[in-house]
Amino acid sequence: MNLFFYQLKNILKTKEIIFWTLAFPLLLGTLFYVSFGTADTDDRFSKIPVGVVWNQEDEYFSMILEELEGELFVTTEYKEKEAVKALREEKIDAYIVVDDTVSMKVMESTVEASIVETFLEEYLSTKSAMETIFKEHPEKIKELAQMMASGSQDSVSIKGDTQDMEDYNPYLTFFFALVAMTCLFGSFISQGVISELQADQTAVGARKNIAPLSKMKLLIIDILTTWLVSFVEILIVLFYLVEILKLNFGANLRYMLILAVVGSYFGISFGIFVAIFVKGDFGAKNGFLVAVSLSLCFLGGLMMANMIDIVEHHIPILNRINPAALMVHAFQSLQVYKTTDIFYRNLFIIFVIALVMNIASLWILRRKKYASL
Amino acid sequence: MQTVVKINNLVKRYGDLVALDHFNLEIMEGEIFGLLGPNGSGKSTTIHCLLSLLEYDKGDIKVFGEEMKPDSYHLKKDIGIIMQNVAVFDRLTVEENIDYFCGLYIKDKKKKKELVQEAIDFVELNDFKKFYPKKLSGGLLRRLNIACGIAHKPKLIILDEPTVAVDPQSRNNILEGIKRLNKEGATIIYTTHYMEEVEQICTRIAIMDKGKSIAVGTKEELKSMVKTGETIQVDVPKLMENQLEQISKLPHTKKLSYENEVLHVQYTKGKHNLIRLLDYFREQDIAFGRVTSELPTLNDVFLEITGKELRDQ
Amino acid sequence: MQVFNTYFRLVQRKKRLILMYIIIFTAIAVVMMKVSTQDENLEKYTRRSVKISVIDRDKSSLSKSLKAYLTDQNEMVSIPDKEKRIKDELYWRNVEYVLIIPENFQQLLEEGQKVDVISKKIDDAVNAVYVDEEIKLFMSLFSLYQSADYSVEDAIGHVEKDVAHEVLVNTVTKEDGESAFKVANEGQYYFQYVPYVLVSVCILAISCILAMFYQEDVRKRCICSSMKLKDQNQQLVLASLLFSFGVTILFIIIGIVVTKGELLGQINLLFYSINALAFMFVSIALAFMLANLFHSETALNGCSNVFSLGFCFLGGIFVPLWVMPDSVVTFAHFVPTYWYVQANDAVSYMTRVTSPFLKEFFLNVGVQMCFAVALLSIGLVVSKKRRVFS
Repeated sequence: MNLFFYQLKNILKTKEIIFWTLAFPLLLGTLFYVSFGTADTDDRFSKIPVGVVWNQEDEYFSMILEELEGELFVTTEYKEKEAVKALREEKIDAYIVVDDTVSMKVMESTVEASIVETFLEEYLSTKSAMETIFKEHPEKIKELAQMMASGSQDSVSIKGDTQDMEDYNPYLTFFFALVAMTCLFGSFISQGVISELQADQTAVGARKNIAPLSKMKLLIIDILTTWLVSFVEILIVLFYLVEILKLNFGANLRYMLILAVVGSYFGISFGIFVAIFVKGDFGAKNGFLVAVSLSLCFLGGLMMANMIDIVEHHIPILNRINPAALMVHAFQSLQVYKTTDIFYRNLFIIFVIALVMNIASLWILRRKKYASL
Repeated sequence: MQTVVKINNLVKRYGDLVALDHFNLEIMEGEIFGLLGPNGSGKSTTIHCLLSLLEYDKGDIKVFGEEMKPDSYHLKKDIGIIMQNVAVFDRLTVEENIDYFCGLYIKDKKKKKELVQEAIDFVELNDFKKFYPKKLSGGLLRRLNIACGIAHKPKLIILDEPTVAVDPQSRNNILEGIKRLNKEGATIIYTTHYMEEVEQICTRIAIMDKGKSIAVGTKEELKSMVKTGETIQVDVPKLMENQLEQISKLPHTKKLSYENEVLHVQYTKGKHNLIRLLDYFREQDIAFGRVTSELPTLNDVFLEITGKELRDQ
Repeated sequence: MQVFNTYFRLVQRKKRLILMYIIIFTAIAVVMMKVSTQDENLEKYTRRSVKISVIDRDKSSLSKSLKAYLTDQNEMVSIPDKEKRIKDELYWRNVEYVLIIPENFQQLLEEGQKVDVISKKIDDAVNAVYVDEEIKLFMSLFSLYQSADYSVEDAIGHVEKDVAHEVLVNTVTKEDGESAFKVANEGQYYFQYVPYVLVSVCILAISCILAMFYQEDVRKRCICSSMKLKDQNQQLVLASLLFSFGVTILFIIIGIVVTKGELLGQINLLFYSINALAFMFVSIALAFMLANLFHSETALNGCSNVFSLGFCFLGGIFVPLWVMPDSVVTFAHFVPTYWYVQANDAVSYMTRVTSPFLKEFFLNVGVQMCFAVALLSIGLVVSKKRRVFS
């Protein structure tokens, strides 16, 4: 039992490891949060600055424009040359030219320009309809105009069914990937600890190998202590994200605990596995872990939220075994779909992979006799 | 004989602590000069100042007759250092390490190659040329450390506690090696707190304590400074009170003790103390066993002057 | 050249790890590039189109006509009428908007009743609004005709004609006659990731190797030697420069290969490369500064990722800056990657070298060099402190 606590103390004293595995995720999480945690995905509806060039008078059009003034558009009258200048100086997103018909000019393909185009399309279509009816059923025009004014011609309403998707915030994927990264970084802790168990890696390892304790026991203590540390770290990160930054993960305590347990287990198993099977000195293995962890997280969406989608389209098998992707997907299914079967399934896969790595590692470690120390 | 190193009134303070207190030192060509003192006496500080690694507050230091400054490169090329900690690149082999450090002094590639091989031969690391430092035992590492410091055949070699935590065989090798280097013409400065080593190889010794040099001279000169002469130890199974009294009355006897059947007698100066004692035993028909005679050690010198032991401070 | 040669000998020893980092991070850059250029508007103005699916449970002429109209305006994807499938397709973004037209759609409307259609979408951003608008337009026009006592068939016919009116959109060029539309997109996205690669690899390789030279005992030996410290440092600098130059060139070459040689024919490549080289200096300076501050390999490994990820996020490399709040954007000005990205973007818009372009470009490059100098100075100050131990 003593050994357990000594080992624990040993780990916690290694400042670098604690920074890496805990402080860095917290820092990165804060960075994410500050950058886009509060991003509102539908706050782009600010009034669009539009220019209007009247080459001809058009009572009808100006009436329509007036209605939208201050609501959708902010219009300014220009002469053609001034309009071009304003467009280039980005004072307006587009300008409308009113002559026989209405057309528009833009400099770039922007969202705002598209909205203006849509507006003009509606205008032209409606105008055409009114003209047709006027020609064929002129008596109805007054009634129709009244209808349009009151908006009661809308007999069809669009019922948006976003119930399932209302919690979907695409930026949350970054945070999910961040948690996955924290789990994977647990491998640093175990890699460091295991190298202390290997005689050919450190002097401490040599000493431990000679000691009369069964290797099995030492190994188990190592696994338990690193698991505990990693587990607590993940919990801290989760706590920080959900409680302090108030992100909506949709998962409640029970699921988060399960994820933390499985995630940390995977992380430390991975670290042990690499420590044993990858050739090289401590620095090389460390670097290897960093590179691989980041790559897996990248493929799980750490740098670009819909990376998982892309992988799904090109190399779907990767998503089935990449622990980062599995974890992110598990989170997403909880949050967006509010179902748990994907969650459990993915975590199970992660657990199995970790277990396999563990068994392989144990096997090798038990039998190790050293050729050269 | 030329003066190789002259340190004059060196003062170095770390805040309130005075590490070197008007320290003086003069080392002549061809000596193996030992700087002896307990931990914290200022030995390493002296060396660092001497090498211009450390700034000092007062005093001056001259090497090869010229003032020693951080940019005295022409002086540096004839100095070799071997520090207490092994200073090598972990990622380079033994050969590459020696080659690197030698190359900092010698530009000529061919000459450098010869010198590197000679250095490897000198420390007998030929079998380990391609090994990485991690794979070497402590003693071998020290040898590597030395090779890196002397490969460029410097005229002045400074060793700062080079044998800390080294096995006896390697230690011996190192000491022998130093003697050989000296024979080949190098002046050696050797700092340590192990007096046995100093006794073994040093021609002249300075004893340091608390930043001051408290005694300087050859072994003999130092030992003659103290009142203690030899110490004789005899295994005597039976000794009676009055016999003890008589032994104490023998000339030059300073201190006497008899415990666990061992007679311990300390003499002040004088010759033939042992013969007189043994004659007495024969006269009295006292049986005795093993006899040892020790001359005063430097520890005794240190003890007398400072009231402290050299080791385990 | 002793120090210089040994430097590269040490690089050799770390070869595997360095190569791995280069490969992985360059691969990330390539992937990001391919992914980001998938749906970009190139060369002319095109209206945003949405991937939609219309599930027509009515199959009347009205619903079919509506579906046809929406198909015309957008990108149609067909999916089966199953709840779970719809959910999945939306989740995986195969479709962005699903419209379900209920049974008896036409019939109910004919009877003058109000009908609901169901829309399912992922996010409530502008894309969905377009489709909503299109549906509303079509149906309100239909209502108009209906109220004017047209028959259903006639109404449909007229509406189809009405909505066929297209808006004429012309483009205005920029002041210098250049089009405001991007031309060399792939290059832009690829080179955008230069900082990520350079920062991670430089810190990994350069910092770690410099740290070996700066290790206290080794350093003492070096200082005591007869090789001028200045010369030793110069060689270290030269070796670092050569190394990172090699990495940068490698990255550029890979870029050319990956864009199938397209970049070679463009003058933009020259400017992308100049920008990359400028950032290379920043990376070296950063690596140098860190080598003086940290000595353990693990710590430096850590720094490699903290700085590469941190700089890249803040500079707007992974996530575009316009997403972030103003305070972050202001802060980003103090990060060299921000200026790199500005220059990179400027190059992507250029089709001809003009003096306003050059002004903007070299301004950004200049700021990066200032960062390099600043970082270098900090490193030098720290290193001087270690020169004479006090």
